[in-house]
Amino acid sequence: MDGLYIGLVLVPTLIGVLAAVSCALLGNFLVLRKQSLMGDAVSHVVLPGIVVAFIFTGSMSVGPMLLGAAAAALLSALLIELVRNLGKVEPGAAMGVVFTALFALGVVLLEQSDTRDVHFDVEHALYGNLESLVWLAGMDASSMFEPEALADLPPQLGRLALALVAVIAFLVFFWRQLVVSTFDPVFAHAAGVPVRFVGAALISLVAVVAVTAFEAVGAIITIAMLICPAAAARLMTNRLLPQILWSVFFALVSAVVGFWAAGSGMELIGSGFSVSAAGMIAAVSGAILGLCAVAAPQRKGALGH
Amino acid sequence: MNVHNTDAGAALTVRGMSVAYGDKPALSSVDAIFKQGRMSAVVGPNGAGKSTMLKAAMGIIPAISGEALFFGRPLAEARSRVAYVPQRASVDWDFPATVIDVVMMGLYRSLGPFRLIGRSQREFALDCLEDVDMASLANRQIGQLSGGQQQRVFIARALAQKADLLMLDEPFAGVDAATEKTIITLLKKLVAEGGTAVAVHHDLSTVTAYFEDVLILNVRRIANGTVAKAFTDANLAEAYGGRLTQATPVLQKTV
Amino acid sequence: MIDATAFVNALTFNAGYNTAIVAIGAVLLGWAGGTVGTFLLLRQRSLVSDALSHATLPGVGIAFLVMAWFGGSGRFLPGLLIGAAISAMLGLASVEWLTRRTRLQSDAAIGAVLSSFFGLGVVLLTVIQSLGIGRQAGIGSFLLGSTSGMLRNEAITLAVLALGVAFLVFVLRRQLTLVCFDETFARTSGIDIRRTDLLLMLLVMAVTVTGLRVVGLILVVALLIIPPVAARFWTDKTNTMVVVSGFVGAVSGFIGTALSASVPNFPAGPVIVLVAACLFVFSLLFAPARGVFYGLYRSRAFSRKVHRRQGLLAILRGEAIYDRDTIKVLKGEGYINADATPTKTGLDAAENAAREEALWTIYLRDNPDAAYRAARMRLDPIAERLTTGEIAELEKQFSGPAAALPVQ
Ligand SMILES: Nc1ncnc2c1ncn2[C@@H]1O[C@H](COP(=O)(O)OP(=O)(O)OP(=O)(O)O)[C@@H](O)[C@H]1O
Ligand SMILES: [Mg+2]
Repeated sequence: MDGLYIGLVLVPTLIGVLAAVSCALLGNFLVLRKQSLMGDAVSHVVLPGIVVAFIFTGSMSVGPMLLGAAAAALLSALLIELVRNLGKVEPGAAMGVVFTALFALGVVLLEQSDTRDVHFDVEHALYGNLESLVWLAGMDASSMFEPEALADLPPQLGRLALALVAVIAFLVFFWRQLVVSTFDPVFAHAAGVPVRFVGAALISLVAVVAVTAFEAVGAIITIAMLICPAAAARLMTNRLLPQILWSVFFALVSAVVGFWAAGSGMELIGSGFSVSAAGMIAAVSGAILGLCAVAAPQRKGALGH
Repeated sequence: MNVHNTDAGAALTVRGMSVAYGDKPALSSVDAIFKQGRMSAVVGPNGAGKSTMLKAAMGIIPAISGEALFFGRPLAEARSRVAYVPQRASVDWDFPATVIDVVMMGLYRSLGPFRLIGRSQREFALDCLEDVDMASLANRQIGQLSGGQQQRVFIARALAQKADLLMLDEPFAGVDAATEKTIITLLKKLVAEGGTAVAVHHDLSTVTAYFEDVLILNVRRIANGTVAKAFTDANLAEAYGGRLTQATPVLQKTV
Repeated sequence: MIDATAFVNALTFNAGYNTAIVAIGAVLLGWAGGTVGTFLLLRQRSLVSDALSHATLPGVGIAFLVMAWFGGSGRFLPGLLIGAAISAMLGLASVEWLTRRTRLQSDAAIGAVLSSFFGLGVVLLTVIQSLGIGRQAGIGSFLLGSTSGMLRNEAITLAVLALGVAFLVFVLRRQLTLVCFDETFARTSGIDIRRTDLLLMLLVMAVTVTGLRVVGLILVVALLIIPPVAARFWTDKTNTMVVVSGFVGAVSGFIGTALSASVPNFPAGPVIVLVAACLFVFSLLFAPARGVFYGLYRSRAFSRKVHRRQGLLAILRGEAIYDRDTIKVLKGEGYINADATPTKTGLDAAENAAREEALWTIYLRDNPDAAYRAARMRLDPIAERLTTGEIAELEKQFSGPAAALPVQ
């Protein structure tokens, strides 16, 4: 295998795939719970979290940044619940209020602090920079077995792999609780399923994945992958397990095709530049959903609309 | 807390239960006893708080005061002995689950979160479906059923819970006469085997035929006891107000 | 940090021509957003606006490319806004189509459209970047908005647009109120619901596109969502809500732009949103109609009433009281001593409660028709609910000592 290919294409693609699949897995439950936009809200709120973490620690190191972002994401989920319950505001509007307010706060704090000196801006937060997560030490296939070379892998790869493992473990261990409380919360409550806990755990995990993915690939992939593959998979089948497998497949395709189209694909059509891979991946996932909406077997659903 | 003077043989004891939505009372200081091994009806006009009482007893909504004891114990200690079928299951009918999947959710307590579903569980779930005449539709997606069929699936799920006390909120709403008969026969059989059923019921003309005990409710308790003693014209008039006086033929038949 | 004179200058439109124009624009925009947003909230479609605003990005990018292609500067604001409007419409149509034609619920449709259109927009932005034409200066500001580098004719364009939107909203508000308030009635009185909905969405789009340059596409939804949610706490009436919401929006626009003009590094868009958010928090907590504190006060007062009555009746019957809340209420009001024995006032109050209870019971026996209503009033002193004549009637039947009467 060509070394450059591994380092410059395979590794970033793999990072994209890991992020996409983690998001898509959780996305199935968000879509079924009609909480798709929680992912949207949580991803927006990552910005103020990072800025606050920076203001407190004065450094752009990864640890505090991830911690700040995760804290902000959880805080926003909590605030949304609070606004919903205290104010009896419909969920969509409650989300809208909370995430715009927190995002605005993040931007103002960003402008007021001097994070700009250390090169951090909103655009970065939104689209990430997948193309730059390359593995320069990976010169040929054999370097996959060399410890020093492996140590040079982008750290995001490891973190995202860990996140994916966490997501899979969560789904396996909480499968029954998750399904029962998603389908019929009242029954689940009566049967003794810890409904609130399961819901909170799901949202926390979305936050964790959003934060990890965001650091690697930007908020936009997170939002797209939390929703589009699961929504498209929903149109393919009437069974839950197949739906989840479809969503993973769609996430995979979006990440691979998107990354390819943003780089090599552009060369192929003769343009001399490449475009944002994150944006392309999101757009491809949207296109897949569009196709499914036109032609998928179960697009109408049981209720016929 | 106070486990004192619980009536022996009560499957569900409701004591001094008050519930309000905001500052609008829905139940005021209701006392009621549902005896073990009997069929009990809860009747009352729309908005009387019947569903509210069941929900508060199941801990789904908070009560301002009062308590509900199941077999003399608080709900937390008796959860696996109680099954509850809500008035209108507020589920997403488009959910990717089949009929049998839904029934097997009733096995949640006996399986716990981790034990896998085996052949015997599947067969048991099919038996439960058989009981409500739905076995032939076991592999349908739940949205592809009629309203009455959906109701039957939820009753089958409650059966799968193998509970000693079944609490059903209007099990016959939107169900055809044949199904109503099936369900009532089934409930009577369960009760004959020592189970207990509490059902919110709207059809006053069948109360005497179906049930042994009754609670007449309208925000407060109007009467609670055997059908013979409690299901009287006076009590019904107090619950339903003058609206019922035109419907005397029904009442004459029942009393 | 905040420069007081600059702030006052900005508040009084004395901070320069551009700032004044922008402030006027922001006030009009805030008002229009709040008003339109109310209808959006009442139709439960608040977040559709989020999809709409994110969907503007590819339009902006394409408009830029097209204008650059034909040799223009690419930064021409009206051109960019037209592009934004067209792609917003496409986004909206996609949301509608997904919810109508597939089994997807609106939340998934909104999220999908939002993210994929935005992704496409980002791709186009990077194209523009790598083409090296005209920097993204004109376009970057569409993400977060900015008023600082705004040219005079841009400011005027926006103010005029805002005026136009505000005017449209003003003209259409009656029809929208009718549809949002009572769909069936609106239908029977000959209003075409679908057309009105479409109109509503057009207004939402107009607000979004106008707000794009000032507040930015990520935050412009706040103008449509926060003011009506805040207004909801003050009133239950649609008409009042429309007015309050418009007011909240306008105030946010006004104070926000003033703050932004007088404090360095205070971007107008986010500051406007934060002002609105502050107004929201204030409303959530303190509004009398549905605010948290008032609601808490009312449900606590009611819960006290229940415990008081139950406790007093238990005292009268000589039963022990177990409920901790009941004990707390009775102790707090001096009805029982520390050792749970009733005080003198406690006994008197119990006697009185039993009398009330007995009178209610007699009343209900005699008036089954009123039972339904009366059951809910039972905790109130009977004198507040019945006329003195009615009570006197009841008193006649009420002869024995209170304790002897049937207490439920
Ligand atoms: N979630 C809620 N919020 C506010 N009020 C409620 C709520 N649920 C019920 N209510 C009110 O509480 C009262 C009792 O409602 P409940 O559902 O218990 O009545 P019900 O006896 O079951 O009536 P039905 O025969 O119509 O089912 C009604 O007046 C109802 O309007
Ligand atoms: Mg009911």
